[in-house]
Amino acid sequence: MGTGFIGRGLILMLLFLTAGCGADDPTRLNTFTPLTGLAIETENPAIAFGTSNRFSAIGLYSGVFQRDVTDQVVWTSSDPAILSFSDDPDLAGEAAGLSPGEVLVRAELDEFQTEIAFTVTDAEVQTLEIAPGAISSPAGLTRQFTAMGTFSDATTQDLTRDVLWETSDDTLATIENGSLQGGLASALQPGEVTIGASFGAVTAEAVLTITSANLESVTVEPEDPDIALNTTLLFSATGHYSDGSTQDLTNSVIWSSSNETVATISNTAGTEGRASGKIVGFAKITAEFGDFSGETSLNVTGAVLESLEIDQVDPTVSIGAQIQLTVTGHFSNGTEQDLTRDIDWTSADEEIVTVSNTIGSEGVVRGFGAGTADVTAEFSGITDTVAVEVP
Amino acid sequence: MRRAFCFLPGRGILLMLFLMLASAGILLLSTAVPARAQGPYIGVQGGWVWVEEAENRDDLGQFNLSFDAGTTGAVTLGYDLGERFPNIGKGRLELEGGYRNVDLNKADFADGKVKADGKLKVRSILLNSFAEYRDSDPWRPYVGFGLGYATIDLADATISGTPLADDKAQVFAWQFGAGVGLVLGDHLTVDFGYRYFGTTDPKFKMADGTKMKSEYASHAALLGLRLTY
Repeated sequence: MGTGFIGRGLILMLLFLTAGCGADDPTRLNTFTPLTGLAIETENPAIAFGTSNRFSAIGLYSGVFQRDVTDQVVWTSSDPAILSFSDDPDLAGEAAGLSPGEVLVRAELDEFQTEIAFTVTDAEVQTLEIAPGAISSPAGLTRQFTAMGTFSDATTQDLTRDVLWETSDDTLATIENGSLQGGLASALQPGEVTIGASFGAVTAEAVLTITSANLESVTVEPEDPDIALNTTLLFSATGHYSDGSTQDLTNSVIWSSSNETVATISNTAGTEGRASGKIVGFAKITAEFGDFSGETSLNVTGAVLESLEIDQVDPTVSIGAQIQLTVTGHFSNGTEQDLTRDIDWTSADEEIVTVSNTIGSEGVVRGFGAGTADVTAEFSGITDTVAVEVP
Repeated sequence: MRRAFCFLPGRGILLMLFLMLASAGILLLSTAVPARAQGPYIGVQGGWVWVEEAENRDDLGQFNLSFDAGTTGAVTLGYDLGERFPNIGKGRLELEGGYRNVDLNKADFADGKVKADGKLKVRSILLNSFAEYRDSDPWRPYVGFGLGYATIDLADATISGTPLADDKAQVFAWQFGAGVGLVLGDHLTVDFGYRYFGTTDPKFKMADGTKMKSEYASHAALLGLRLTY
């Protein structure tokens, strides 16, 4: 045991200490913090009879966080002859307006329950409009169409799930009906088809042109970005086709990082393309789609956060509504970075507003009671606070 | 918020490099003092310990636990080879009984971080081997490693006030260490050291009766005394 041994020992120790450090992002939901309340959100304030509405339930957990518990609550209507909830577990919270009238919608979970008043009107659909009215797509891809109805009481309502969708030629394109994927068209072969939507006697049409364009390249954006250590960045992947068209492939590609010690990137549904900087260094981010791939370089810097700034000034949110707060971090190297997804969000009074830390909805503030409550964003001990008013 | 706190390599390596650089700097400034400090010894150490954020897996997925900085202590019985065994080298062999105690701080789930309480206590017994550079007395930089056994006690752990676990696990343990000893005479050495301590994955019985697989790794800054006979 001598100086050579010490040198080798130090090298071994350095290698050991730099390997495998850092915990992966958690995947488990918190089942420890007790549920203390429920709230109901509705897609529409009222619907016309013959149409449907989606309700969602938000669980409030001890003022610490909130979670969508739509598929866990028991949904009931005070008069199922007016509004009836689906028994299909895949359609939790979806209700059909069967006849005009007013009902109470109730959500129950454990010993908690809440209810809201809801109206099914006797309005009748006057016109129907499909969006987009005309669009092209390379064969093999899908396009989403939506149908918006205008009613006799001058209201409008998204009827994508309620209309009957059809195409003029099923050999060229097919289109889904129903609540889960209604309006989703699959382009099968080159040609032109008419997309039809009908609600009773009211119809609308759109044109889908299917090209024989081939995928020529995949690009990844943003190009060669820098992010600070322990922050995240959302990448997107775009497919470029021989006819000049483009397609967002962010959720379809396979994402990978050349050095997962430096940065990881997600392929998990809902967070596709989200990279996390683990240690200082470079990693090549690749998006692979079939035989094509795009790549860019991600530089994880050691920049130190100097200040945070919530971007919204004097935000207000109505009871039952929600707004998105965003936050910008200012770093020691002079850069700025959107840290909305990396922040610990807290509300000083969850009886007034709640703020989400859930993946995919970070920074979403919901109004629950009249008043003003401070919402704080915290990252590495640095905070910024904004007062949110609920009128 | 989806980020993982990592004590190392940033601060841990800095700490270790600081120790090494400090010892190197002092070596240049100090005057060599002949000292033996070899043979059997007994030692005590104390200091601060930082436990890395730990991934925990149960039937519902993975969540992470983070901890406050805590305290650590150890008692050692060893033998300093000194100059007596040139064929083996210059260094020390020792048996170390150690203790590390930290408090839980937060639990990180897919839907955010919440408060966690309780203690994480580790008792270990390790057989350590350290190589020493003895040509710069009174300062003796050293590096080494140890292998042994540990009991990890996740005591009265709660998340948002709801019981998580109160259980112990027996695991194999190891450590890597570096530091510098200041020889004050034939019998007394002051030790400034750093230790990285890790174990195989402990499994704890959760409050609901199911099992949770955890992990443990820590970093410690130590001040110690060795009395050599």
